[in-house]
Amino acid sequence: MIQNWAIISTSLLYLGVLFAIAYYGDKRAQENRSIISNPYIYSLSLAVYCTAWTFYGSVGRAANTGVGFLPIYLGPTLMAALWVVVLRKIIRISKKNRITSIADFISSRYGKSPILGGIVTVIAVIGIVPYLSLQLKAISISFQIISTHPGIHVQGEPVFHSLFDDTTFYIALILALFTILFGTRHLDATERHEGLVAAIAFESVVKLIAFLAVGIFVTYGLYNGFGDVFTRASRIPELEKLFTLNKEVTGTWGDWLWLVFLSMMAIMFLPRQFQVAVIENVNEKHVEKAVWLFPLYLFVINLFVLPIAFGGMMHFSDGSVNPDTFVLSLPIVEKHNTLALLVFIGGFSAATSMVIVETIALSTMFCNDLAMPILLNLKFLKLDQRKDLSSLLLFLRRSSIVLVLLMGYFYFRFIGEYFSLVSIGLISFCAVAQFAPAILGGIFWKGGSRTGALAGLIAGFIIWVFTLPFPSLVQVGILPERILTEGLFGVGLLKPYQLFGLQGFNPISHTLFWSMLFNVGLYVTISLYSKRSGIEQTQASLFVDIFKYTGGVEFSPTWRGTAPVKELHSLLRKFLGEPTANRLFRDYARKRKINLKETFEVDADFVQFAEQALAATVGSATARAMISTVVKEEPLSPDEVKSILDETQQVIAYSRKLEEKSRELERATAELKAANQRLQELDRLKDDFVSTVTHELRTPLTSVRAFSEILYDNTDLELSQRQHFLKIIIKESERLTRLINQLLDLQKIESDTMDWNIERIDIVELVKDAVQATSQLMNEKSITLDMNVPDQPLYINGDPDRLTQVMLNLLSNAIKFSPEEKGLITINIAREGDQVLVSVKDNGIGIRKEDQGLIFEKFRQVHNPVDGRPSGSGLGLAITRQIVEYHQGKIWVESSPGLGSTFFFTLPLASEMAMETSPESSEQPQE
Amino acid sequence: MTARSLKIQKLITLFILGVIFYCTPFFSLFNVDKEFLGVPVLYLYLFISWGLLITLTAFVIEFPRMKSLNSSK
Amino acid sequence: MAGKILIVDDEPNIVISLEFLMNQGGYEIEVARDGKQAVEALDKFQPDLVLLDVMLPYKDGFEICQMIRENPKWKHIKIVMLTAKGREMDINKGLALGADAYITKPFSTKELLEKVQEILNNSSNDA
Repeated sequence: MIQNWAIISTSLLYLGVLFAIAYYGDKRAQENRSIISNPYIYSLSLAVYCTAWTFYGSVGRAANTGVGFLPIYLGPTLMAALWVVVLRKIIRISKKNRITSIADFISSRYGKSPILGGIVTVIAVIGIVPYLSLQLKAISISFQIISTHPGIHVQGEPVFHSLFDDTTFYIALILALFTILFGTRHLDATERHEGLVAAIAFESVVKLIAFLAVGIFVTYGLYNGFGDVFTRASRIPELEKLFTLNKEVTGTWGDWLWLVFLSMMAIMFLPRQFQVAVIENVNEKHVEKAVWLFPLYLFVINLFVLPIAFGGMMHFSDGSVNPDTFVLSLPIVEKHNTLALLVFIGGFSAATSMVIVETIALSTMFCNDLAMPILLNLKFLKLDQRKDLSSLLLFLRRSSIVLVLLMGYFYFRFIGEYFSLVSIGLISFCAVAQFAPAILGGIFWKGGSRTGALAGLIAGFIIWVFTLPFPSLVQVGILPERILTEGLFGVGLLKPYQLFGLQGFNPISHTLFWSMLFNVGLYVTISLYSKRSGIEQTQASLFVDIFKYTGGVEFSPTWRGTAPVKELHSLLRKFLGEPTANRLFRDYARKRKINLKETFEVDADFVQFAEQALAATVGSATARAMISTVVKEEPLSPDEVKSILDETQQVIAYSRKLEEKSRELERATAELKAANQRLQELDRLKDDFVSTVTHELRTPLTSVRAFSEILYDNTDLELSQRQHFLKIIIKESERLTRLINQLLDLQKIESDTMDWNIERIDIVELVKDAVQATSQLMNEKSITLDMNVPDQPLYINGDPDRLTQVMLNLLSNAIKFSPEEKGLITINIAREGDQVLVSVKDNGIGIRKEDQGLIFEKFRQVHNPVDGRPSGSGLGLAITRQIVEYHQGKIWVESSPGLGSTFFFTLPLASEMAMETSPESSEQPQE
Repeated sequence: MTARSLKIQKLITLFILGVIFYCTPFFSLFNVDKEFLGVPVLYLYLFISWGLLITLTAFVIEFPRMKSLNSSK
Repeated sequence: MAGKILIVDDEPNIVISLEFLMNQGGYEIEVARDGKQAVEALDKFQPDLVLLDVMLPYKDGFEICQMIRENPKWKHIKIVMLTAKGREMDINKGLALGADAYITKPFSTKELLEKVQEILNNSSNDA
């Protein structure tokens, strides 16, 4: 048994931690260093969807219906895939219009209608209060269970004490206090609460960890894994029935479908989901990651639901424990106190996060869309004559939080005890599903009208009331039984569970079907036949075409004419308080470069700004009503609005075009730059080339000139020395000639003016001839020659002179670098498929790895790896490569310094076909 | 069209895949009284298909430049 | 009056011609065929003047020139760049690095000899 004080102090400690996180988050937000501005926190905050219902109720539902708990999570997964389309649009609209709640959204869409906002608020409050009470119930039950001895059989039903002795009452009050502290510390221009979101994200982590802990404990601690749990359960007939979806136990296929649909709507339109997903959203882009992160969260938190449910059913086979409490009861009876406490905190976090966010959302609606419009309309209060309403507004906000929570508490005390966790939740889901037609229609269909939305909402709501909460009053005993069996007023068609005689549905599917039918039907038909006012049309365009109007250009199409500065200021001061109003005015004036002190009246743009500032605090309907009292002229007619909108659209289109143009220009500039760089590079290369050529020409010329002058000046030289110098002159002249010839060759090949003499030749013969021609040089250096050539001729198509040049070049290189006396040159010719491979190998000094690719480039003289001296003109191998490549062959070298090099080249063999059928192939010119 | 609209098309396709998984008679193929490795086939189906759907979505979001599998090049 | 001349060039035939010419001028001669040898010879041979080619293995003429000018104990050494690199840019670079003269190949033997004599005479006058 865990002592009460331990539980209470742990809970309070936990709330303290939450408080600290929220405080820190708010502080950071004020410093403009948001801690919640990332997609992960955003996704975690969306997990406020998982309430105590998920934490405790899923297991309960799984124990009764098998996979029946899953549609509630599959629906959001499906919906998430559409978020990039739907949610992103809603967020954009809400940001642009300073929407503060889901009621504000609907009201704003349909011409800032106060009535619509009020109706939505009423539906939301009535629909959600049971759901709130469910969370309180969960906290209360879990507290009782954990504080009771495990030996005592727990029924999981709350035991009621007097109000002041009831923990739940105090919990409700503490939560109200917490919500007030973080929901309404200030009246801000935007209804955003960064600290709160941070706390909610933290709670999501806590509940996930707690649930996974108990899941692992049951699955792997009490049993041996998933297989074991299910195998054991399969031996019990009642449990085995839960393995499939079947009519008797788990509900029908149709019910399943309705639940998927229902939860798809809930994830979008539950006030708390709207609050975290839309109002608290920091950056539209965060939606993208949430599209898969949020479903992933749902997936993980549901993994262990079935094992816990079956484990619990087998553990408490006498049915003594309510399945809704298995999550907590299992660790308790197994005497795992720490785990039990963790689970308790997990459930507590699930419940508190929901309560806090839902309460804030509801109280914002309640205050802005219900209380304020009514109070302002009550003339005898003379509110419009009061100087400062901001403190009243704050008071209203705070008291509505307390009110909402107390409503939840009393619902829990007097009605909630009769229902399981899940059934209460589903009733609320059905209520908020009524918002779907008005919102989804509103953002995709311009034709949707205020009267249509109003009719649809009211009809849907009435059907909901009549078919879900109303019959539950019968169960509680407030209403007589016969309403269920005979229908309202004895009219058979008006039985709450079989409306108009419809049978064979469970209550949820039944309600959804009828309410959606009437809601959508009325919304569409009445919209088609109703005349819409100017502002309705404006708002419809603004909502549906939001992406057209928000291309970075501000728009302000709803007002024309002017308003006195003084009156506008006093209006803002009234609702926002003096300092905020002053700050807003100052900032705006600075932005527009207006001196407010010298201005008496301001233009439409300013009016629009004031309305938005007001809307962010009191909602769009009230804001509009207030502004219209000070603006001098009528609002714009629909036609005027349309033309302004069109103009905006044109401006946006134009600025997009400009952007495109400038992008194109940028591209062109970049291309020019690149081209210029290439040219410069070419220039540099050419310059280098010329410089190298002159260097190569000058070097032999230097010797020729120097020795010529020496010989000329010194007539008395000895004969031997004379001969020596003359020989040098001859050699250097030869070198010069060779160089010039090579240059000409290279130029011819590169400019494609070389005369190629292509004929069918035997490469074996050609190689032999070349070797013959160099035998003299080899003999001089006493080089050994090793020839491995085939006996049969290998025919290729090629220029015999050029190819001989290739061989001579490679051979003379090999000779040049071979050591004297010990030199060995190996020549190989081999057929490789349709190619012939020729290699010339020497055992000379070799070529360094880094040089092996370079030697075939022009003037890449490779320095001798031993003494670093350059060798040759640097053109021979370049020409060789050009010749080989002209013949469609390849040339490369393999070498290890000090051991020698092998040059390889391949040439394509003349095809047998070419040999026989096309004699002219011998002169085939190649391009 | 743009990469963004392509991404949206892919996501809508995934949505339809999810609808096929959970809201069509395809579902009933797995609604059978059998177990695989001790786990009921229906449970396995639901969780595996769910995981698959999430993985595919993550893929579409995180690797937008990945060419679709059926494109020819 | 005579002096010590270090010839740095990697073209054997050019070296031969320079050796002959400097011998005729009555100078004491040492030959280095690459950058490494040149640096060694600077220490060992203590030349008064260096005939320096630019395109050299291991260390090119510009580097050697810079080295000589950065080392105070070689302050007195005269440098004549003697190279086939004849672009304005190369000439300027050589002079900027502290060469006393820049002569492009092919050179006139007479002019070279006169230049060497002139430079060595100037230096001995300074001293």
